Amino acid sequence: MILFLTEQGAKVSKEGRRLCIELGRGRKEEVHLSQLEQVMVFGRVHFTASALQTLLKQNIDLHFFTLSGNYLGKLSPPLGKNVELRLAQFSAFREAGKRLALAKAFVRGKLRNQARYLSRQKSKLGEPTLEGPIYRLRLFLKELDSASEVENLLGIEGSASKAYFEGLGVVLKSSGFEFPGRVKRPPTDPVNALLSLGYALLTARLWGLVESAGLDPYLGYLHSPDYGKPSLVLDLMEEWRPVLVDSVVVRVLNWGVLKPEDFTREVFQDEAELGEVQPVKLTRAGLKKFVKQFQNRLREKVFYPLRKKRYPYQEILREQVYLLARVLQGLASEYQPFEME
Amino acid sequence: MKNQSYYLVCYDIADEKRLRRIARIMEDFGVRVLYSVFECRLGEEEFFALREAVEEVLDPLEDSVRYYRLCEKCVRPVVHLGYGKRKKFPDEEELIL
Repeated sequence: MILFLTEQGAKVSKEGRRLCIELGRGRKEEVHLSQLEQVMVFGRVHFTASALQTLLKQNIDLHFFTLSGNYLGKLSPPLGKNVELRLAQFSAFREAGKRLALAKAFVRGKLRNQARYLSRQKSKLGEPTLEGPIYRLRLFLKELDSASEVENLLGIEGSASKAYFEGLGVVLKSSGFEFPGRVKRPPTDPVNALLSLGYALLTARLWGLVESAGLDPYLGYLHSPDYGKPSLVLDLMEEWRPVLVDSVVVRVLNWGVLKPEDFTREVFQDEAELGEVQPVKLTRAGLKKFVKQFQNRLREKVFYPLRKKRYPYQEILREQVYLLARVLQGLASEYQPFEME
Repeated sequence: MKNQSYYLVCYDIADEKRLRRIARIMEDFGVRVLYSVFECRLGEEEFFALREAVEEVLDPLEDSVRYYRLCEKCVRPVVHLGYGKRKKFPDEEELIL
């Protein structure tokens, strides 16, 4: 199970084999450590030293976000001992052909899912104007096949995303929320704030999976290695963005699960002190609602061709990471990104 | 999760003090679903740790405890009515506080 902490001032301690969370007004919650996989901390939560030690010892990673949803970092024990796998990861990086093939697979997965998502929305909403972005995405997919350098891929992916986000704006029309196109660092409106939050949650989730698979999160194929950038996590995330984040953002806004009053321009104490103020963000109540929807999505079951059965998205997410590990070790022939229906 | 099995643990403890001690041990390993019945998800090591802790306190002449290990197929159709004082469930996928 995943523990999300949003209550400011909460105190986390360890009692025997349980993690105890003391919330306001004398409320207490307990979680069995043996069931805990990850802890996501939003804003200012206190941990006793023994709780931190135990979490590290039991390989439960902690991810820290500001209350406004900005990812700050994580606490986890040192990387695993599977050096063979990491060597294979590095050698595939050094082989231009292998690197290009993997990078292409990640972009292909993303563009295909973006096109599929817009296609489904086109039928659902009866919006003929979505035909334009869908067509352009398909053209970019063709261009992808003939690309010969990883740098070109990033260019294609960037242009394709522009087209895709135009489509997303159309999909969001009925929500009453304006989407001015993708704006990040910082996001300046509710839709972008949700997208950034969703992508941050997905990054944190995937990061844990990448490390437990024994892969080095910093060495990616599409995203160039850079100090502190989890390039491989970003690579693996590409195919999931439309499936697990964009669709949830559309759902919560179009269905009115989140309304304008769930957003605020108030400056939270932690982001003010860190000097990273986000102009618009969710209120704490809105954050809990969004996280719940995100978790619901992860639990939805879909058909997974690789295993020929229905699995929850969160399992497929894990399996795809393992698939990459097998490809790198020569145990599987190619990385097939997950295809949205 | 990672190689854990479902255990239903039921006990009858004759002495008040032992009962409290054993309940406290059980709280550390599982979820109380009825007064003297706990549901747990334990790996092999944890199961042995639980048994060791409980049997240290248990008086074999006056008390009894039963551990039922159930497979997923058997657990799924369990029907329960009412929640009584039960606060949480052993198979929650997330907790948002």
